[in-house]
Amino acid sequence: MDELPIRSGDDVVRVRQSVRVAAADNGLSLVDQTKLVTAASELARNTLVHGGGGVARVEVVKSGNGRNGVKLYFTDEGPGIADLDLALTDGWSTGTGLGLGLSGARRLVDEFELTSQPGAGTSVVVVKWSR
Amino acid sequence: MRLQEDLADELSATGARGVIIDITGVEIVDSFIGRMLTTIGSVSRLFDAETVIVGMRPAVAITLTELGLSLNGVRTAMNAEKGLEILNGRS
Repeated sequence: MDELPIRSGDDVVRVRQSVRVAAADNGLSLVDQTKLVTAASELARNTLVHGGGGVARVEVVKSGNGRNGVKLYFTDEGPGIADLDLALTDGWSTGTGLGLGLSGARRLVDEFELTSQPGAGTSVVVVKWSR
Repeated sequence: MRLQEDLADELSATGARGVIIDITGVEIVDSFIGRMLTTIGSVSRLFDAETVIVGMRPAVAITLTELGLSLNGVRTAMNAEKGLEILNGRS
């Protein structure tokens, strides 16, 4: 299991590389690798920009029916999100972005869990399974 | 951003009517990179130049669609040759 700091744009690149290696090593197709790396890029940038930095973790998991998967954790101790449904709405953005980060990332993965409270940071956990 | 400044300088100096961006070597396009590409399109348009993005990998195209990114204001083409055809008004 890799734990990676997210403190700069370069860290976001390192997270992408680490996710790419884990996805390729665990039998994800090229399209699924690309989807997972893109989702990781969105989430890592959220951690950096909205969470004020944090940590990413890359974990290899196995499903009940023996499929391999890659599980990613993004955690920050930033201001948190007051309205989770709103944050997951396409086009909604607090910053100058396109508002597709969270909602788009959710569409690119198989499992998506967002936990956050105002003042208590944000955690996003996603899984992509091999087919 | 450096690329955008260089592009604006170059468009202003040469009066070029088209910009081709080859992303053959780009492994992912997230919303951050997507926004950079559309901004390049907007800057180019201010200099009366059209932007064509070429060489997008199939996996990137599929992912972009699912992400919900539409790259407004820029055109896309299979490769640089097709991109030039668009800019020359032949297709």
